[in-house]
Amino acid sequence: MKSCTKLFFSVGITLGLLTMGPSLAVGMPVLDFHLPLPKVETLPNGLKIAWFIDERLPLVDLGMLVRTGTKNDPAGKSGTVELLSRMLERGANGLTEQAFSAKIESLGATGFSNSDEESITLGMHGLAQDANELLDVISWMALKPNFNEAEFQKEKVKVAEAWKHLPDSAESLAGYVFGKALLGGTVYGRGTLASTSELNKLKIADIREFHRTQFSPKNAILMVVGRVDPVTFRDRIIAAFGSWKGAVTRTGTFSFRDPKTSILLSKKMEIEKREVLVVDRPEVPQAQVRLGFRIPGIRSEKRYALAVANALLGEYFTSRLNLIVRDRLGLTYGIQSGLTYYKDYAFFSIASATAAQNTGQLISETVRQLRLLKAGDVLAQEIEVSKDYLLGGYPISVSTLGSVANRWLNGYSFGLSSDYLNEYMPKVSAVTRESVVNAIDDAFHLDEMVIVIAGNAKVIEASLKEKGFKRVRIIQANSLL
Amino acid sequence: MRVALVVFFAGVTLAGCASSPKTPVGSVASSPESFESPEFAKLGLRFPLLERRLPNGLKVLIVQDSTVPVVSYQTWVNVGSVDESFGLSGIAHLFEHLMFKDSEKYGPRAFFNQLESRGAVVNAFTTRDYTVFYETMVPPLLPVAISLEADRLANLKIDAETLYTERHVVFEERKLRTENSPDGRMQEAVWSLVFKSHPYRAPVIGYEEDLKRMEVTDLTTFFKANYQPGNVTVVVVGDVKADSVFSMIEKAYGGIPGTPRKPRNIPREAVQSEARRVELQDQIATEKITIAYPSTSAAESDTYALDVLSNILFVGSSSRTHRQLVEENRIASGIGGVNYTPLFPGVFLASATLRAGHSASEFENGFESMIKEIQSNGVTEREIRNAVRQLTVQTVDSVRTGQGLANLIGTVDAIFGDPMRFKEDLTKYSRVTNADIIRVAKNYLTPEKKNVVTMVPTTGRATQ
Repeated sequence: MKSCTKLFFSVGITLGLLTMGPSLAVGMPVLDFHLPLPKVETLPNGLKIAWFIDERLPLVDLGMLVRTGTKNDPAGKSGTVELLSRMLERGANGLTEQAFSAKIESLGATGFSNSDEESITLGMHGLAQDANELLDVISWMALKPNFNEAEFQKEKVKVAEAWKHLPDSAESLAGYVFGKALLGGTVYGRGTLASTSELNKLKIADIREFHRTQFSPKNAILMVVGRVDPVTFRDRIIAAFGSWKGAVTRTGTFSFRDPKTSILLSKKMEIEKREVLVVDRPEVPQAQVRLGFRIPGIRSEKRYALAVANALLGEYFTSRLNLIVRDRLGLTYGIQSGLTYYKDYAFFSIASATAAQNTGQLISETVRQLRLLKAGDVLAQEIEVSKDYLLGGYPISVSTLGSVANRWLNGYSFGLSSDYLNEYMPKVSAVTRESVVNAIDDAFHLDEMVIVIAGNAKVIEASLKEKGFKRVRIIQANSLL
Repeated sequence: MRVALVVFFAGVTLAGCASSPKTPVGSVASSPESFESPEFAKLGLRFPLLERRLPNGLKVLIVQDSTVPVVSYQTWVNVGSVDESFGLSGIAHLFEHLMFKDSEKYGPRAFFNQLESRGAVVNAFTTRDYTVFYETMVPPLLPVAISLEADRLANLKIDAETLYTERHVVFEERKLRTENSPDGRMQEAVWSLVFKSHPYRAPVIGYEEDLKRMEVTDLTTFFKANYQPGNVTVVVVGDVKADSVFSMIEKAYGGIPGTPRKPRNIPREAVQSEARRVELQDQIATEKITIAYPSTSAAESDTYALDVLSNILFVGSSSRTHRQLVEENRIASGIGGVNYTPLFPGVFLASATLRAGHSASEFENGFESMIKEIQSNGVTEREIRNAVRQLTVQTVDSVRTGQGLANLIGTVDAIFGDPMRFKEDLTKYSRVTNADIIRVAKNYLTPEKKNVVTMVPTTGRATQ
């Protein structure tokens, strides 16, 4: 445990002979790339600790991930995890919320508690010299939250009020309705909150009970990233967490499309085949556009071929969509495609924004490009460029130990093997044109594509109909909540 | 959280941006200097810096850091929206877009075809004071970046067709950031309210009517005036050999003619003598407000006390505004603020989103009471100590990556003409006293210097 990872990955570089364009005969680096994996140990009570030691900067990040997220909200009690996460910041170890915040901020540090579909994460970031105190604070948050009734009522009000601001932004509206339309009927469909009526019914006893059953050392991992002495710090961790007990109790069955836990959405946000859903947000000149469909999950062998396909379609400035929709047609400031992975679900999506009167043209051109890909219109040269982009960008995306730790933690929470970070480059390198064409053919279910637009519905609808989109349904932004 | 640290260092007078006499010229060797200062040494931070200048005026700053095999290459051009002529707002930003289009030697989209397609992060940004182009990449791509950057500085091509298309892209960017965004609309209104004659009043992205009237000749004139080595600083941070990189830069840029940087002759904004207000409407759930006071430039010594004060007021859950107006009085759902100090005097900002049933004027009254309390009784020593600690962590955070360190060096150099300047800042923050806080609160945050932008829902104002 004493070794320090100063140079936390090594890159051996050989130069190939690829010519890179006029007058620039520079080789593309071929990278022999290896990221450091953390030392992981398990305390007798089952708590895992992952060590990413880095002496370079006088900083420390402590993070605790608990493997229970909004998809684990008990039936009829959506909002439980969101409120629990918020309550962990509202006082602990007998300190009031004010005293608790002051304790963290007196160190110049920042603390947080977040939740998503899969997990709750607590974190502390500050100077390395304060690592012991930060560890104390994170242990109080995890083990000794106050769960004060008055604070709970305040947080419920804040959550309800935050939702009222959703229609303020066309961008937020488009993202929200797109997520509901695409993920509806799955355990991910309800997001952080299914309805305000469920929120209103929640009691502090629900939060306490969820914490009691889900916060267990066997269900958690502590990340230590930065400048600490692992020997002495390990003793501090044992003092803070060693007596933590409890076995996790699952709150239900969480398989994909389980009718007991999945949410049947409001009819408003269900979408039928070949139907375009427009959320009316009048008075804004620009339409926010989202489209996408489900793809194979994170464990699929097609994942790397799809990563290459996604990159060539819409990830960089010379990708197809950018070249055509932005550079040639000047329709948008940006158009991006992306792959989103949950533990048990994945989807492909495209996001853009354009003047409302150009919406039909932008979507029409985007769908045309998807159809071309589906028909196998992919050049070997495009595949190589896309692979080079992904391979060259990977070292930059993991150029801090914090970014390596985050990626590792994502893999851990998804149950991937600890080597998955180092499999990325060889697996991308091995992608061929044939594997990309096959993956697109298998994964791009264009008939099931969900298209959602937020903006001035009247102008958008006219623009869509002009381009042949016949089934357009308009919903009002203020009717969603 | 407060905005990135670079903001705190933004701004100094024009003289500070002129050629620094201590900068070695040409290939004269210079030993790397260090950012080491007592405060940085205590934190174990040290960044050896090589600083040189070519005969044509190009300034080169290099920090060798082999921790990871990544290098950040940044080109800082000393031109921003503050340099735009009346009726040509947005030309600096539009030009940033055009710099990626075409050049005589390498042709269209060279940065994307030859760098981004190999994994480099390639992008740029424009501020009121400067324009920055950056590439972050694995070291073998550095010679390509140097060659391409030098080429577009010497041989950029601009034609009417490119201008037409890119102008429409900028229109869409403007819609995205401003016209579609309630917060973007408010921000634009704040700057035009605070500044009546100073060019900071115009938005960096420009007004659509100005962008529409720009011709190719406007752009070529702008290019010749601003894009030349004497007006440019190159910052390199990462896994490189400093002397070797400097040689490459010297070879690539050495033949480009340059002239000394011209002083900016921009008159100071008149002192504000009465409060100003504007009200906007939008489809929002509750009222919003931003209060802005004219502040300092980063070069002025009061900046440090104002920065500490803004941390005490706005940063964290125990900050005064959050504590009183979000937690206790519960009139606002979200609050933020910053002392923004660019090259010329900037703004001290306080913003809030009100809770349903509460009005912007309640926030305004509550904030004013808070300021009066500070003007009368100051703040606690503990608050000052906490704020300085927060600023220290923010400083260290800003240099976590090569790109972050390059941003910091480039900003400080663009503002002060001295990349070493930021090593003094932690010391200066630590010397701020309660008397300083009271003084700056009395001098800057006064009712007659207040500028208030409110936004109310189109459905009506909150009842009080």
